[in-house]
Amino acid sequence: MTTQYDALVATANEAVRSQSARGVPRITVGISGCSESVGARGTLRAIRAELERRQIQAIVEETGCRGVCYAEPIVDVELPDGPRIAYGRITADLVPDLIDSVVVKHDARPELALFVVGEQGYAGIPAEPEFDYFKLQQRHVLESCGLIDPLDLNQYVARGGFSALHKVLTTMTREQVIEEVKASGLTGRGGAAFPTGRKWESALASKNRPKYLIDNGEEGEPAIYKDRRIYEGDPFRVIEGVLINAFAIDADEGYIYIGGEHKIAIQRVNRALEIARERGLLGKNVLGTDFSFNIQVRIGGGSYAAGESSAMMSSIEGRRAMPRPKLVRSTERGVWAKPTCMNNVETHANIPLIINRGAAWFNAIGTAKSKGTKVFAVSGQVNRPGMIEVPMGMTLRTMVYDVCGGMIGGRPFKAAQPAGVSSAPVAAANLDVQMAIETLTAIGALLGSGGLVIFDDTVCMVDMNNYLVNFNELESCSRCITCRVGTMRLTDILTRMCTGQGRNGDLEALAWLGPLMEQTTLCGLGQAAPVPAVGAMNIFREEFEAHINDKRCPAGFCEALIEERVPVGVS
Amino acid sequence: MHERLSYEDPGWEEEVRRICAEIESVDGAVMLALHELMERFGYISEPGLVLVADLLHLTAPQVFAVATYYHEFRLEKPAETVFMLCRGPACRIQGMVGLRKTMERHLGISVGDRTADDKFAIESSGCLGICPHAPAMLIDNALVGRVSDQYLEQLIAERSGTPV
Repeated sequence: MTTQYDALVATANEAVRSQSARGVPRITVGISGCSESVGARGTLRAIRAELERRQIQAIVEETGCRGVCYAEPIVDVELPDGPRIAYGRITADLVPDLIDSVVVKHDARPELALFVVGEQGYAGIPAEPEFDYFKLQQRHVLESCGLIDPLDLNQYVARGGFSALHKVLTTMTREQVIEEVKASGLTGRGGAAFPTGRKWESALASKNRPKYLIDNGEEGEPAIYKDRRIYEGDPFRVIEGVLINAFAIDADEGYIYIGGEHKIAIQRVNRALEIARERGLLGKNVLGTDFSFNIQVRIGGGSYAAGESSAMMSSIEGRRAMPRPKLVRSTERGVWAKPTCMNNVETHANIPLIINRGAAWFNAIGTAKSKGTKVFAVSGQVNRPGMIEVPMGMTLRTMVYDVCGGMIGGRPFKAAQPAGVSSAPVAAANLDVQMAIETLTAIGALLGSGGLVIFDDTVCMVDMNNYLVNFNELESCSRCITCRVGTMRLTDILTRMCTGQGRNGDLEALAWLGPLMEQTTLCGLGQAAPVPAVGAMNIFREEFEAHINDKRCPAGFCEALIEERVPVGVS
Repeated sequence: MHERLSYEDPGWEEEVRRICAEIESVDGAVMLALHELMERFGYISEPGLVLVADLLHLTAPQVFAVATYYHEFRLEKPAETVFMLCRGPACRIQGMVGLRKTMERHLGISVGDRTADDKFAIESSGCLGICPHAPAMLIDNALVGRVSDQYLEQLIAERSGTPV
């Protein structure tokens, strides 16, 4: 008997086959919030116009973001029976030349190319696994990002999409799914790193109805942009992960909560949900089974606090995103005071992989306590900033010098700021730290959700922390006095230090405020607010003291402390 | 993309009624309504806010509390061009300090202010999330990466003239 899933696969394979049978060139442009900001839409328009002008028949598609951000806009060209080659930094003005040489004259233009998709190089262009930026990456969660049209369900299914859901619905019990996730060792990718399987287990145990599930894609912290890229590049993977989660915990209703600024992510997830509904993957009797589930999209409003679980629940209820006391676990009492299971986008995106390849496969990647791969958003003063996926436990040095191509201009590495605004910095002395949950915790830092900003010696740690505490001040929900006033005091102190007004006792005040705020605030965000500044002060003590005692900024960043030293009459 | 409506248009109330009718049955719909108003009108006016409260069976203070909490909701008509600069760490260390000064010099206003003729305003965001393309800004609600002084100067010059 043909199941509904078999029919879905047959349709998908046929659609993909008939498209390649057309024997015309296929051109894709990575369109994401990131690439759009450097002209990818203009590139796409220019391609359509140039093909039209030359009367060339071709398939032109939008894809998502591969994470090769430093080389955006990225255009892939695949000629009939030829390899698929990715070209970097193709701005609109380069399009006529690219089409003329690659499509018309069949000259692969190796000097514009990044890599060839697949295992085989071509004309001196490296194959994907040999491409410097990809060499040490292990791209599983991101395997389809930038490769497929994110809104073409057929492409997702033809690459094995929804096979994990089919497997779960037809061959596994809820308990077996949870066992598999527990055995994989997957922990939450949103920052708190709670074991996912254990969370699901307590959610399944909750008998109160209705039971809710939330996919947390607020992603409001600075220097992190991986969840929105996963939504943009492979929305069906997230939907599949959410559906498996829903089945496993026997949930009744689902929410996907996306940060309001992530416009393309919102559009694509909404559209992907419509398509999934039309094709029987969502709603009543998913894939013809007796499992039914619905997902609503909720849009944030640009609030960092809304990423905190209980605050997000308040936001979904139509109120201010203010964290609430967690006297009872949210798997008992969450949104609408009903049992709720919340997971991060990247966590959900890992689920189909674990189901398909097995817990043992996942468990073999990573360190003793941090399993699987992790997506990092790397920015700052490295040559190849972007979104990378590496096994847990890769050293910071390897990430900076090998994956991301080293420091800009060969300047010395000074520090890295992981985990947005929640972690102490990692100094050069710890460059060999493994980027994993337990190893970072051991040196007083945090992995968080995977943000990573790299600083060279021109960055002032006092100034940077002035920004970080100020961010926390502006984003504090103001519920707890020690967070509301504490972040103000921290900003006051650091601003004074940066402007030559630092005074004796400032460092002691920082050292006193840190533990006070950690002990007396309700949510993790308030508790983490003083951590970066206090950590930086301990590691870069001399730099902090120079600002106070000598009114001097050793990195030469704080302007008030530089201009003072410029002789009158010189500018 | 919808075409922008104005609260001065005679049909504005009808539009708000239409928006609220569509989502009235959704629990906690107020955020959805406010996003729709932002999309259609560019900001949330006081009469608009009061009408939303009325239609969703909430009090005006309840809606006001939500509208004032989230950064994306505006309660005043924005300037014609809003430069929202990114304060994030990557942008900060990769040129934003200079760009901010360029803007402040050309427009004669500081971050957080708007010009007297309502043509320009400079605002800031905690992080725009396109860090690899630092320094970044949001201009006309579109993300712009790798922003240069020349780009800003040209844009300001173009838009300072009389609108066509």
